[in-house]
Amino acid sequence: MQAKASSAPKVRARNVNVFYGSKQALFDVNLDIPDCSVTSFIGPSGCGKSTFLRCINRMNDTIDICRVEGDIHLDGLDIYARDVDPVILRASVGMVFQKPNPFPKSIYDNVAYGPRIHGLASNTDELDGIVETSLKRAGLWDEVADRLDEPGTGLSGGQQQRLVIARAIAVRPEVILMDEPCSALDPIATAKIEELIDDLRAHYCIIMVTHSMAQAARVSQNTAFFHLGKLVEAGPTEQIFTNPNDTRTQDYITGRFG
Amino acid sequence: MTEPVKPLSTKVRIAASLPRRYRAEQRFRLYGRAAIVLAISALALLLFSVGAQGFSAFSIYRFNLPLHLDAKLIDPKGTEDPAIIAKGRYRKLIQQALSDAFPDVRSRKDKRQLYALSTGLNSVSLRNRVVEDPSLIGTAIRYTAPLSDDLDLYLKGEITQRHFTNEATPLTIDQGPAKILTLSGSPDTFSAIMDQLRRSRHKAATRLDAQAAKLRENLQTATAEVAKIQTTRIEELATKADTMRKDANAATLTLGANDPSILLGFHKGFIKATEISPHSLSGKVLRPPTSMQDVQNWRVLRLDLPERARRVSDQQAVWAESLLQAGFLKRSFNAVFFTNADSREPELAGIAGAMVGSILTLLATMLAAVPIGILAAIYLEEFAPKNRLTDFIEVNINNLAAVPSIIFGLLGLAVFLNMFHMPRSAPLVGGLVLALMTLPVIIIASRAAIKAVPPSIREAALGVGASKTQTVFDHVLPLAAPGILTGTIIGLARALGETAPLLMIGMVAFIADIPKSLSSPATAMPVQIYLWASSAERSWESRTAAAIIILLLLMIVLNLTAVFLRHKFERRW
Ligand SMILES: Nc1ncnc2c1ncn2[C@@H]1O[C@H](COP(=O)(O)OP(=O)(O)OP(=O)(O)O)[C@@H](O)[C@H]1O
Ligand SMILES: [Mg+2]
Repeated sequence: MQAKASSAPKVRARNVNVFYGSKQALFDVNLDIPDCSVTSFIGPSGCGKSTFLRCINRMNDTIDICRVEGDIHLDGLDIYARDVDPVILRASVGMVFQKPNPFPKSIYDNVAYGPRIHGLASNTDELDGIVETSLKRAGLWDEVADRLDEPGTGLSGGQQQRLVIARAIAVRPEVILMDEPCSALDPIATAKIEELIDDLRAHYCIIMVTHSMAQAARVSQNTAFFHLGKLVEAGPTEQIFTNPNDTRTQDYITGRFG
Repeated sequence: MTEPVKPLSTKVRIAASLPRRYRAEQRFRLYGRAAIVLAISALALLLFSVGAQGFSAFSIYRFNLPLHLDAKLIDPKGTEDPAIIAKGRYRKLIQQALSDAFPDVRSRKDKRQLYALSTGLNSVSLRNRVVEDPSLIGTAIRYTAPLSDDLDLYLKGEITQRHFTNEATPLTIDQGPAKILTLSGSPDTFSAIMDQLRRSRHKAATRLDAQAAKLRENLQTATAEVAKIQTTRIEELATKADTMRKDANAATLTLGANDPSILLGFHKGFIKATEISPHSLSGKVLRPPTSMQDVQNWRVLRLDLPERARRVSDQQAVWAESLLQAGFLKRSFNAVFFTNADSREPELAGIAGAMVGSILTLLATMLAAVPIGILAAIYLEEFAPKNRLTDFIEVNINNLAAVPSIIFGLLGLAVFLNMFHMPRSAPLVGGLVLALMTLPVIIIASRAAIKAVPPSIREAALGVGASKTQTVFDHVLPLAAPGILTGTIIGLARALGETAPLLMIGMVAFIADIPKSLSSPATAMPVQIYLWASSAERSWESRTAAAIIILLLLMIVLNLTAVFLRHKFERRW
């Protein structure tokens, strides 16, 4: 199930089992995710896509009843090892959520918060620079350049989602996790975000959950299909969409269930 | 064919049920409005009754008399030693000033009555003034002090209404036997006064009749022995009423102990009527007139409550009226009420001591309860693992919030006073006890506010790599702040109005000084209200109400602060 056997994978998951209390949500997931590309997770609702995504930045640690077994490696380092601090991990694995969740603070403070707490800027000029480049990368700069001190919650949904992406890339992560980033957006905002994801691909390893087959086909190079907590099939997007190995994948893609 | 009928019947059914639904809604609205009207009218009634009673306490009558600071009574040997000056006979000086204002008062009994116009405690303020500025000794000053509380009440008309009538019919004065003057004028000069007296006597007689009737009703059920006693009592009442009616109809009225006082003022003097006929009136001199010439303008002061039923004698009333007319008495803002601590004398009592005590107590409460409460709430809500122990703690915090406040007082007594030997009656201890009481309220309110912060904000912060503590203090706490502040202020407002636990730790003592520190003896406003409310003298009534008004104002200020803070910090997300 290797996506790109040639280069070393950015994220490597082996035998990942996840339990919510006594209920098992993921069964023996093995997956390699390459760097500098977009990987989509698809699958019917409740199959464990979000759960797996949240394992990669250890967001599941914040859920008391959640227990993760198995190995997940980032650049060959076990992220669940004892000496790994989830705070450092999350600084290098950013996350964008399904519903835009800007802080109820100014646009500037939203983007500057991460660099500030990590001490990425030694003075305000440098911080201004980080904010500007992040907003530019997120394609939001032109729209908000003259109102950086207005509240981030006052932006439109699509703008908020791009603000949240800017906030995530401001801490210079290596991996960006996106959980259905366009589910609350109209087609135009969605197109903008997709464009943005495509631009970001050059620098980041992007992992995205989506319910839209078309979107997965448009923006991702690799696709993984989950079903009932199991990883059914993963590989280059083209192959998954044109010539899947598993009938379940075939059925899901052609809309026969899910 | 059933298919197209179905939607129609649904519509019809909905339409049929609509009036009922609207009626239910209307009824509900009506109940709501009724509840609000009831609540507001109860509040208005409270405010009105308290306001009406307390209003008079915000002003007070003060006398302002020339006073000679006689060196013989302060520092006879001229030592200029502050210790000796402090021991001067200032009370005597004030008494002399009163005597100088009414030089005709000679007998000891009258003098004692005269001196009662000023409380003995007034000497303290005079002494302080002289000790501060010893150069005043030997000079004449104007001395101002509050009038005795009984006379203050009298002048405010709260003991009995002061009915004044001004007349302008000529009268001649005849000197009668010792201290009796007779005023005569044209026939019918005094008819109006006589009519009044007759009416009041008839009224009194009717009251006696009613009393007798009531006793007669009870006769049937009484035992023979009791009935015998009661029969004689009924007869007594009947004869009394008869004589009263007869007296009322006499051509010349002789005033007795049960009659209203008729005080006639002329030529700066006053006489108290003892015998009235339509054309002449004889009375006892209470304050001698300045001349015996014919009178052109005179006035009648009628006090309906008989002299023996009130604490202010006719003589004192006359003195107060004379001082008032001469401009030696003025009604002014009762500043003393806001600058003094408690006192045995109502006219010198103030709420400053209790207010400072309350503020210090609240300060101690705030310092102890607010940080602990908020931090405990944060810990329980954000950090503590969810297990049996934390569930147990949660249940117990909720239980603590329901414990009667007096129990906290007992706890304070046992722990702070008996175990740690902290000072009695001190705001520090009171504050700590109230802090124990407020703590659960603050914790519960803060937890609710923290819980209401959407989890997406926490995820956002954690997602960019904020630590748990950073997430809480940078994002959760600012968003929960309005709720926490409101809960805290409401908890503190409750503590401000609390009495019972303070009674237990001795903050109920009589304390005549404004407390200076957290450990000096003090009372708090609600305790002061309680103390005054249980005092016997009439003057405390208005002061109690005034203190309640101020406590309510403080509460309103606190609650408005809560509302204001809520609006200021409220943010959308
Ligand atoms: N916090 C939680 N506590 C308990 N069970 C959970 C929790 N989160 C998810 N689950 C369970 O884990 C399973 C996988 O959930 P997950 O959220 O990963 O699904 P998903 O694939 O993201 O679905 P969707 O497409 O609807 O978002 C589900 O059965 C869900 O009920
Ligand atoms: Mg999901």
